[in-house]
Amino acid sequence: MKEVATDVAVIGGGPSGLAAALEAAKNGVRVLVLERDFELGGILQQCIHNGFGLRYFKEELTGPEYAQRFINQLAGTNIEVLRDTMVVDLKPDRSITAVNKSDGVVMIRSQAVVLAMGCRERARGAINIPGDRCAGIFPAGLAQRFVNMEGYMPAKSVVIVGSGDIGMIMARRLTLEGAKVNAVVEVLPYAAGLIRNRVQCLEDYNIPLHLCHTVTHIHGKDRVEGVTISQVDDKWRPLPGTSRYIECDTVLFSVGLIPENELSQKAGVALSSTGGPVVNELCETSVPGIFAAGNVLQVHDLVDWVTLEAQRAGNNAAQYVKDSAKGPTERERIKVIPGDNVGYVVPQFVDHLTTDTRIQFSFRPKAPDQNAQTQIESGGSVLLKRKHPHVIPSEMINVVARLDPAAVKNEEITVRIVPQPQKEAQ
Amino acid sequence: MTQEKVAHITCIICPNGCQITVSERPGSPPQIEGSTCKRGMEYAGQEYRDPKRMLITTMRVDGGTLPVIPVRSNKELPKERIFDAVEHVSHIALRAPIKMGTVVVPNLLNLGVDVIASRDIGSVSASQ
Repeated sequence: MKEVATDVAVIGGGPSGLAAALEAAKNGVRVLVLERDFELGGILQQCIHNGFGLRYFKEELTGPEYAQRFINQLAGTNIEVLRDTMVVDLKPDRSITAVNKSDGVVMIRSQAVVLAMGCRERARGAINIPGDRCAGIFPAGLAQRFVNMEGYMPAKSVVIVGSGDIGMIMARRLTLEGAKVNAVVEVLPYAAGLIRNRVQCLEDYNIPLHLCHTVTHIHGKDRVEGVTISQVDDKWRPLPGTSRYIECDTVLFSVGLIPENELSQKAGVALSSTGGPVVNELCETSVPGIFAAGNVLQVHDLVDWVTLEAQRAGNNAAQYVKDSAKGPTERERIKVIPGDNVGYVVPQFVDHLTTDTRIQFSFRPKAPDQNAQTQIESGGSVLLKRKHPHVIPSEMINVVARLDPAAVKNEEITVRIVPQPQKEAQ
Repeated sequence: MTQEKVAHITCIICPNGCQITVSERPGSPPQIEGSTCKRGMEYAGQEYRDPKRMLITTMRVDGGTLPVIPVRSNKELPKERIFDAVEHVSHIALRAPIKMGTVVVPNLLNLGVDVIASRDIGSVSASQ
């Protein structure tokens, strides 16, 4: 059995792990990245479309280009990378068990850990679509990897369930590769992904989008032969008399992502309503020295924000190693509460608030709104306001705030989205 | 009788998604209505006159750590040529190793755009 010691162990070599590792290494600590695939870059390697990097690099890149820029930065560092290495256990004392073909079992002792495992696709079972259990049913991201990285074409005739961005992007991609996309079926009354993708992925290719519809049955003996779709009411119940049959040999599911929590749970990390770990403003979880960033923490829509979040996690992990003698703070932890029209807020707690602390709050609205305003409030007074011409659940809002510690009352702050106040008569 | 051409365009510039109508009568410039900003007007004008898209696809690789490599055009090409372009590059096989940014198809279909590699692909013999 191989034994390794490091200062900061980063689990996952996607965009989040790469940014965390590079930032941690700038502090002069030893960094080890553990990646289960044969190469770095994570899911970006299969997201071959453009639209990445507009915020971070101020130019439009494809997913692989965005990843390559970070991979290339590793060359000038002494960051160690173990590829083809699967982490199978993480303990609260930050010891890691991993396995790979060349070393067998690897035991890693680390002073700090950054969780950067990303997320996993929800599959057919997660939304209980009835019917036959035949071949030809894939999560959309898996089909994306087949087509864009492994050179396989998994479909000739397709129905896509869910109008998230991956689903719509795969509708275009499969069409360009010669498949016929017969329908995209969405239970909501609007496309779940970006307008840009609805227009450029579906409308450009005349792919029908069936809103307020769901698949009620998948038919097929060995391979998918078709699906029955039905219109639904506002509680997503199929409406009698609206069903019809669509032929296809493949069904793709693009119905959301869930953070990979297995290792977090093994380490005893507390989970939150985002689906990922509860963290404070340092991206530190409930287990001291274990940090989290990227899609394992909260499912992002822009990789640029993953990079920024992971840089903080990586830097804070390195600070933890250098300064682990830092005692508990004098002050009680401040609870961050999601208020009006806010589904969740990351971080859930603020533990070290000074006048210089810059806190990045990430949150999503529960419902679309226009002319809205974010307010950060404590004890009845508004500490910060930010205007938004429009907010939609599929676009995460990020607000970087510097709060006055004296203005925080009852160790609670609330983040809410409210209508932009009209100019009042004095 | 005047022949009026009308096009309905959904703006993609921001999440507002304005429904823009472009109408044109012979002999007069197109009228653009329904946009709430200047960028939307410009987008709708361009989309009406000459819609363009990036080429985003994959190409075959021989001797690489993966059998395909993602590629893109270095600028947009006419929307109606995207299918031809995908078809054209799909018949070309590249040889690993390949570096990101390498021009893999110069002057694609005489459109004045180059196709470039989106990432590095190592060769199987010299594994990374």
